[in-house]
Amino acid sequence: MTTYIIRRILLMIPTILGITIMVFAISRAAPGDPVSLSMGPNGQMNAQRAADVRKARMALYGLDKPIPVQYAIWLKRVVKLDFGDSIKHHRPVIDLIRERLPVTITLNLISIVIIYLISIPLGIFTAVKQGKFSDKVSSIILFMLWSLPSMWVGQMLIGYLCGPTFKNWFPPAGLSSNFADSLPFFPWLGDRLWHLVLPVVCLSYSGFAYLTKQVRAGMLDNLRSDYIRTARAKGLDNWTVTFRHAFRNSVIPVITIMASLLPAMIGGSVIIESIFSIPGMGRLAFEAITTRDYNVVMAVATTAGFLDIVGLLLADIAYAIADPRISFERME
Amino acid sequence: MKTNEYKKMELKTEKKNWGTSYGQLVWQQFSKNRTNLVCMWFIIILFTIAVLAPFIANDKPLIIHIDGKVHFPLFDTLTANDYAVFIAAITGITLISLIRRNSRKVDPFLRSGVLWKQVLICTGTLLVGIILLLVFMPRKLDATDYRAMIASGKASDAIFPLVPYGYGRTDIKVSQKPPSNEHWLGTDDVGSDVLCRLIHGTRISLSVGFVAVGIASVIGIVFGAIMGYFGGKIDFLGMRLLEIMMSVPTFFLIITIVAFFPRSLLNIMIIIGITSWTDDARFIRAEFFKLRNQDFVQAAISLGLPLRSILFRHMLPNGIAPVLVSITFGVAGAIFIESALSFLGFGVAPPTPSWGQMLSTGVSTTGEFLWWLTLFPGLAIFFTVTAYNLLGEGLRDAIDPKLRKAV
Repeated sequence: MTTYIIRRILLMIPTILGITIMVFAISRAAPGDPVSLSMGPNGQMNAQRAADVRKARMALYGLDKPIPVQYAIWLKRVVKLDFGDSIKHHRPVIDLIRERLPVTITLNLISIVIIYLISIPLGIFTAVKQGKFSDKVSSIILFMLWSLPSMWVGQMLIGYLCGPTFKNWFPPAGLSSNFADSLPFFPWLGDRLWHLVLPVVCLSYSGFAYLTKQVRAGMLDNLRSDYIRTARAKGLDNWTVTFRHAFRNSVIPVITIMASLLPAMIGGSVIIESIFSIPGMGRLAFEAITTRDYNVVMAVATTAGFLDIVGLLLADIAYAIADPRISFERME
Repeated sequence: MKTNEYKKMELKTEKKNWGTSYGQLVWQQFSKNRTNLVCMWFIIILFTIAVLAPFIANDKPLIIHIDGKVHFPLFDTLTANDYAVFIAAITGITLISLIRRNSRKVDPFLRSGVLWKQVLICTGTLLVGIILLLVFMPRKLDATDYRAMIASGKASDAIFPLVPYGYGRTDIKVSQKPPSNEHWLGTDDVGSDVLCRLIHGTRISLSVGFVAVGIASVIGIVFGAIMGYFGGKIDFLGMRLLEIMMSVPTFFLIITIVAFFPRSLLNIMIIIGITSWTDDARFIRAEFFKLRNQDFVQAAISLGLPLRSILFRHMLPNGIAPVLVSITFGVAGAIFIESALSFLGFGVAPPTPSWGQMLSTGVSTTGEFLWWLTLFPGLAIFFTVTAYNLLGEGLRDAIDPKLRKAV
């Protein structure tokens, strides 16, 4: 097991390098360079002086070196977690990320837990009731949930449930109320959870629709197979067949589905966090792009990629623990 | 082969029964499900709306009498863009009817060759037509307010389109009005008619879906085909690249690119295209792995055919089916991403009508919730995305033989 995990972690290195190369390449392929951006229109300087200043600044930022060298320099700083300063906030980017990252991680973790908590029982239920009315209705609803655009749902929820126009049940923005700091722990927690309800709903509904479909498909596959027929022929009751036999075998692949859920969720938090004004990574990215704060954009993209890879690693390890066959096959 | 030889072949084999082809089998299976057909018709209607948008929603009348003379302002003000869309639509319809005709009249062994030539001719005509149009078509601007002319009695007997407003119209007097008799779905923050902008927005959404997925599938197919055909080291390297592409959250990647590059419709299409080809590549790779050792491929290799021909004329038609499914889902994804980008303000600029951008005006700058500006664009995105997703689902069920037996 340890060998497998070490191997898996070593395999992460080229992927992380690839992500940094991609982010760096995007920033360098873009039209215009940071120096001309920071210098603005050079109306007041004469051409000779402008060229000199430009050259000096290029040397200062290391932009006169060949691209691979520039990449190496940037990478060296990234390894030391130094992403430069934010133009808008006038602070090191890493401080910003350190503040914002926990919010996004919490939000996504809660959503993932909720997704799994709802979709596994629901998937089993619909698989057992296959073809019945309840299955048909739920599959239609799930399908619609899966295709609902999250920004629409978010805006509708805010408009209808948090506004002055219709119902005023939930807070429309932020993570906590203004007076939250003065509250004792439990009311504070309640306030925080109250603020998290709608964002979590928005972030999780499409994932849970997708996962339920997968659980259902996996269960159906297993329920059709020969060993289930054998189990039934032995005279086992329905409950045992469903949960001891079919469920155990179909839940393992469900773990890996996290791998395809996670990128979508991390990407989706940009939309959700900007709609609900939640100070997380997504909102940081949104603000950085609107203000063209390039250091922040690059840092956030790198961090998001890294977060995703760590998630995939955890999913793979969980998979290996849950199903010993897989890990041995891979180790060979 | 010469054209007249084809004709001879067709004449000779006209009455023959060739049995059902794979495509026909899939179609039979696909059309059994009523939901699939409903979705297909919905998308066809959407395309019709997109193509005919200037005729459905326009502030220029179709016909108007000015000083006793008949004018056709709507036709006079159609832009090169409009004509390009018309040409593309006609080419598309021609191609589809040609494909249907082929399946009845052309020998199955010649079908792919015939189709190949037809596609080439059609796209050639299309490209030449569009380039000619874009180069030689003069831009006409007609700022005449025909309604004012009618009101003042200068003109009469005008026939307006169904929605008599232009999508770029600004009229602060009627801004942010809820649905009424004049504006069926209300007006937005600058006083444009929402219905009109929705209709014109169909064009943007569908074209983004089409072009972005076109780019993605070309990259994905070429990449996946090469990986699957060669295997070994190339496959290993390719898979590492795919892994990297897949582990970056796509939306983050897209907004990162959007942050650095100028924002235009074409750029958005390209950005979505170059970031969403991984699924296509994976599917094609898997199919090509299976096909590589089959006899017809071995025969093609031993005949010394060029690689291009082996990959794309012999193997691709046999391995395209699963990619069609991912293409259909891809269109839904691209439409969603475009509207999300426009919603966040990273998409196309405001005078261009985009569903996502309209959705973002649903909360006014003063924080007021304007339900008609949220509900209707959202519904448009939702229905379109759902239709494509259902279509993809139906297609997958029709293609997957395992499911066919089981259900």
